[in-house]
Amino acid sequence: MSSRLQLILIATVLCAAGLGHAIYKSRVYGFPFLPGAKDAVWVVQAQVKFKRAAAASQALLSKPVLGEYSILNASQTGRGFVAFEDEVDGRRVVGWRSDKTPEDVRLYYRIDLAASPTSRPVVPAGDLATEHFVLEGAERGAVDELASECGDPGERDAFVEALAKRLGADTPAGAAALLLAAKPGVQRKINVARAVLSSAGIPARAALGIYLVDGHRGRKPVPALLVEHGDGWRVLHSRSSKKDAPPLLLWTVGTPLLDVEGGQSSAVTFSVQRTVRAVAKVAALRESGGGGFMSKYSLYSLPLAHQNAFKLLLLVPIGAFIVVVLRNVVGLPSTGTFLPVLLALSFRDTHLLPGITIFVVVVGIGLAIRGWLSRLNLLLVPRISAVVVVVILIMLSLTILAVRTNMLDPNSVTLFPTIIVAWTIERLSVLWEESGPREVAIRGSGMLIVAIVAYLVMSNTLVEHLSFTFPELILLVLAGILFVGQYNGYRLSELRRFEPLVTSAADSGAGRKSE
Amino acid sequence: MRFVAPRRLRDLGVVGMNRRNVSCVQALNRRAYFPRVDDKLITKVMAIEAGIRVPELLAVLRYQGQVKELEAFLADQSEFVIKPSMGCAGRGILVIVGRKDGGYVKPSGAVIRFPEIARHVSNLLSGLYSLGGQPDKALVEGLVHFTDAFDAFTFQGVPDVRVIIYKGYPLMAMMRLSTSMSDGKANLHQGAVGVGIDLRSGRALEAVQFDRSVDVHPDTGVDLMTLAVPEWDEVVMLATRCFDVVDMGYLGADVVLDREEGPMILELNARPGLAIQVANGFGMLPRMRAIDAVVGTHADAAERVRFAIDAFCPV
Repeated sequence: MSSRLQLILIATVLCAAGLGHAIYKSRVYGFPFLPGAKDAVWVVQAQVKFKRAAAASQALLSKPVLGEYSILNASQTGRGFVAFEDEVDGRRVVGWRSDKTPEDVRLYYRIDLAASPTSRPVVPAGDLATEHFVLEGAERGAVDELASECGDPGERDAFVEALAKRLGADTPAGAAALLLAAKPGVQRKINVARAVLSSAGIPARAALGIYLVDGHRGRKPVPALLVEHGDGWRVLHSRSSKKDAPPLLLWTVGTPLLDVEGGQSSAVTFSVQRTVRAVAKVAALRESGGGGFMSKYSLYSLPLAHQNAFKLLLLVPIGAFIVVVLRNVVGLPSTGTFLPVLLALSFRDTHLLPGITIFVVVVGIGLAIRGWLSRLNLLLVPRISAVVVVVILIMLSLTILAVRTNMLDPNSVTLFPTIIVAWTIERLSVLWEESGPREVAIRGSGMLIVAIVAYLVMSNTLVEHLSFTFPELILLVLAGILFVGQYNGYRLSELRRFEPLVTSAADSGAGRKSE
Repeated sequence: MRFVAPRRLRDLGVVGMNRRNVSCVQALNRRAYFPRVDDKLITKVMAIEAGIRVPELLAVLRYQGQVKELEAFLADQSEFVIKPSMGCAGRGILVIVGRKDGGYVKPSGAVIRFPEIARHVSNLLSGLYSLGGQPDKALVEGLVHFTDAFDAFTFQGVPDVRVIIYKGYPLMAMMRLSTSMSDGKANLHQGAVGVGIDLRSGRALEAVQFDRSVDVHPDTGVDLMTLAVPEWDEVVMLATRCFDVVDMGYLGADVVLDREEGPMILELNARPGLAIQVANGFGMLPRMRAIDAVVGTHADAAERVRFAIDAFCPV
């Protein structure tokens, strides 16, 4: 029983490790459990423009405050400029510098963004105390009045809500009307809000962001206000009270957006584009963007050709599991332990029906020829080698036939693994000599059935997707294989095989006892 | 197709393939001892040392160079068998039943010359008949003169008795009779008839072909229930003593009966099959449990045989 206990322990650890890692990957990086899911990827491009004021110039552009987004990809360009990344006063920037500044400068910073499954709240950098922001003169009184209209600053949520409502109203009333002139700009509203919050003692910070709307081009950054709210910070902007407000990507909070030295009339504009990519790819990019230990070992980080090889390789454990189940639980007689799995892999190249046809034809011809070869009393290795040569010749003629008659995709024939077929022929013909054609028919078709079942499971898109996206799930397969390994109950086929025992025991009633 | 509930098989104590592999073969047969049964020369030498009767060993050939010496050796032999030491399923066995004009007579009556024997041995040594094609040894054995007690029960071929020895106790016995379907081979997979044999009396209990009950031999038409193995006590005793020789807990002993010399061990098997349960009409698990309870309490093979017969086949 102790080995049973050990097994349960090992299996539990394997399952926990495999499932845990898979769930972690899905939660943190957003690897999807279902294939075919698509994720929105925002391509945001910032364009920095300025005119030359000196030969040597430098531009520093803040990196966005990501919040619920993560950067999949980033690039900077600027003709005649050297691009760099830096950290200035605790804020991360991208920069360009040049000793030979052209007259009109255009610099580009492009990022691919995707919603992050683990969104971090945006927290402004630096001292979080209430900022001191006042409006001068008569407005000061209006600010205080507006503050009192908004209720008790102690009820912070209600206060902020009321303030946003008053400032956002189409026709402002009361103190708000006084503060907001006929056509107030967003910046003006933000400033009024800042002053009100400041006088009420609620921490707030001015911010700049951009709306993520497909097709926006040449947009200026949008002013916004971060207000301390509950545990985090709430973002107020001109459309924040609207229902269909587009997502806002915060770019800076309380820090400058752009610093240009040796230039003048500088400006930043943004364009936004929405694209769609497979979720798994996005997740992989996110993972590698995270720069973590695991990103280096992600299968998605391999070149495409290697990825495809791994896709195939990672299916082998699934095939092995099927062999184990069909052998030890179902009791299907087949020949060669993993020959059927390899056969199933080659069916992936040829597709099922052509694959079976080719296999049966080639093995049939091969068996006939091998039977003739065995009369020459050859030793094992030369015998198999001779069969390999013959199999290649058969395949060659089959390929030519297929090409000439346009019946088959010629690729599918040549790709059919010759060695597998040769080895199958060898196994079956040895079986023929030792146990006769009956056994060959039983075992041969058993092998084909195992291969077909394995193929059907292995070519399932969900299985394919899971095995490649979550290779750690193989640990679950391993646990399953170990469990079947300790299964000492009856095989399905034995329920049929030993049926006469039950019948005869019933016939003779309690009459005969074995002890 | 009829299936039975696994519970009913469990009630009958039927051992399935998975249980046999794990609880019997793997648990009771040490890997290191497998050559003792897989290599017939080792089996033979060990059996001879222990005084267990086996077909007489006349010569062993290990190297191709020895094939030349064989002719002089065979000059004095009128009947013999040449077989591979690690062959399987009866492949590569050459039987010579007599001499004629300097040639060698096969059972079919055909006469062959020495060069043919030399080529056969040479192929055999290079592994033509051995499992996996590895180089093999050739055994030259004395011919067994099979008893004619079973002539009516078999179609060609050599009938033998398979006794399964569990932890040194005889567990079950079965007679294997070749048929035209099995091509004269005593292999149940190929259609030989299996007849369960009562451990006490040596008489038939039940008979099956392809795991299905039969009453008469499909070729000779003889009532299989009239089968009785002569010198039965000796057969069981001989098989049981094999345990002391190879020390394997789950062992199949194949016994043949020689007209003059009586029962002898033909070969041993470390993975005996399960069809014996169908041939006997009951599962082997209850008997195994009974043996498990008394293992170590009996001094020798004779006592173990006595216990098994009394426990399993009460009068």
